[in-house]
Amino acid sequence: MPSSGLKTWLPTELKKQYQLRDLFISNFKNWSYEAISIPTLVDSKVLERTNFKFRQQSFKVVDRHGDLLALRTELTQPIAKAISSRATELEFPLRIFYAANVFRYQAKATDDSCEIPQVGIELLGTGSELADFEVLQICLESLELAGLSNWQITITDSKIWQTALAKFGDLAQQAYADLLRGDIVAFKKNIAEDHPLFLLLNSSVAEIAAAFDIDLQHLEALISLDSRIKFDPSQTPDLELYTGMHFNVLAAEVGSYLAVGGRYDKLYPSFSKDIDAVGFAFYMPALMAAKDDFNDTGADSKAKTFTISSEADWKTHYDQMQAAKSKQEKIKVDYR
Amino acid sequence: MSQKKVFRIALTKGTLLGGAFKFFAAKGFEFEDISSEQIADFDKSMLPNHKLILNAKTAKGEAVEILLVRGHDVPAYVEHGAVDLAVVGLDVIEDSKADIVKLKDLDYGHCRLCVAAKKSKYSSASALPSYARIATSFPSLTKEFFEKKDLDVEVIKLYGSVEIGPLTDLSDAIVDLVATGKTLKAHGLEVIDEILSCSAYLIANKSSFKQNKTYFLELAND
Repeated sequence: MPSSGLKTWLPTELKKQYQLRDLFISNFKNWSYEAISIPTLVDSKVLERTNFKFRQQSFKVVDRHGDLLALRTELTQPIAKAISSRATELEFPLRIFYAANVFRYQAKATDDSCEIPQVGIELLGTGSELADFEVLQICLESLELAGLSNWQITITDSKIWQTALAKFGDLAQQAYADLLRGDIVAFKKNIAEDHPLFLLLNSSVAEIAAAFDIDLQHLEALISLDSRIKFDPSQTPDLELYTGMHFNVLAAEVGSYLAVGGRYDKLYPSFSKDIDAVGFAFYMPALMAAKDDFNDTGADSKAKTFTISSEADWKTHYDQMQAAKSKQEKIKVDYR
Repeated sequence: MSQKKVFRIALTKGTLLGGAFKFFAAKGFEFEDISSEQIADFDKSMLPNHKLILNAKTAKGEAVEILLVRGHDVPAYVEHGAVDLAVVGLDVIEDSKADIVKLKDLDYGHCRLCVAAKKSKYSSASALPSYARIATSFPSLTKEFFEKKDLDVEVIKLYGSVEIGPLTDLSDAIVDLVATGKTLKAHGLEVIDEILSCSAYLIANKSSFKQNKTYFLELAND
């Protein structure tokens, strides 16, 4: 593994990341979400269910038995495998959250960063698409809690692309591929302006609903949750994973997504479990880049200082240290 | 990390610069240091010495910073969101593999990314010797091209003047941009294969595109 792209987070930097992480987790807990931890190394076969880009970006290692393992490139699939294999021990609906790092070889073409801290939630087995509201609302609350001001959520419904592909076949496949690559030039070359598929570049929910003869009331209701949620039909969710709503969180100051989320009802059935699923993950470096007004809540100056000059001092002061800590006071030991 | 407060556009320094100024001027942009008359007959000597950031205004009067950037650096500025828009050659975009939005083929700065070798030495790229050494500033596109042809080559990354490669036996061939072919001819080289037809493109940061989609698509309209 190359040493470049692997970032060491110094205490001051980590304090900022944890400040955000703890705010989110505290809110997740208030919504009855519980923590889950999964192995950093996963069976490489699990990654076969992730999209092609993630498979390409995975770090792989061979274990002593010759089996191929990979560092997790994201958490949704490994969680799905773990939950599926132990579903009988669990009660559904299941609300889980995670705070963990994912590893992607050169996540950006022009950058070699490859370890990305993520914080996210998964709401599993509600049996209702209405659970989308809970997940999206928690995402909105998290953005407010983070104190971000200039954010925006772009949202679509994977059913739009599924319908387009069913109606227009190869041409829709071409349109999807062009927009996935961000190639508007090719999209305009391949799709005539008067073709219904051209609406996928930029149009309203009503226009898409009419042109594709599809019920998008659920999507409209989700958009109505906040004026900063915008419909983006050009969004290209991974259709092997996403089955319903799909959203990205953006900020004006940051060039990459702060979070990605959506509904993926086909994932658990691929592990032979009939469990519907919806969730999102925050990319912490992008979130931190969007937020520059961190409050230093744990300044060392607030700590009660105990000076230790000899072995005897330790015994003398330790009881006082314990007493201060029991009153939730912060302590700091100074050695002179 | 410093926060990006104003709208930023990166323009590629060099031959693509004049066309980029003309494109944005036609869209109603005004530039602090250059008049519209100067843009019509642009010459890089018109730019203030050593200035890498110019102030401008959109047709709606919004402040814009214009960054003058080396071509190969443009994708990094765009992918990271340091700039919202940029004008850069398709060759650089494709070689970088950056995750960006291609908004418009600006239809100027036409050239070809070609394989070239010493005159009359090789008839095509397939005729190059096994493990041929290829000097280029476009390593990704070069590797892809030869991989597709199932030819094993050694790619030597150079940052400029790649034509010297075959002349000094550093390489058997080069992969470089060819506009008129005069530079190749002057160095006794000739085109033996073509990889990509290129021109200047208007590109955008993916996140910025989603946030300014209507405006960016307007800019991209003829």
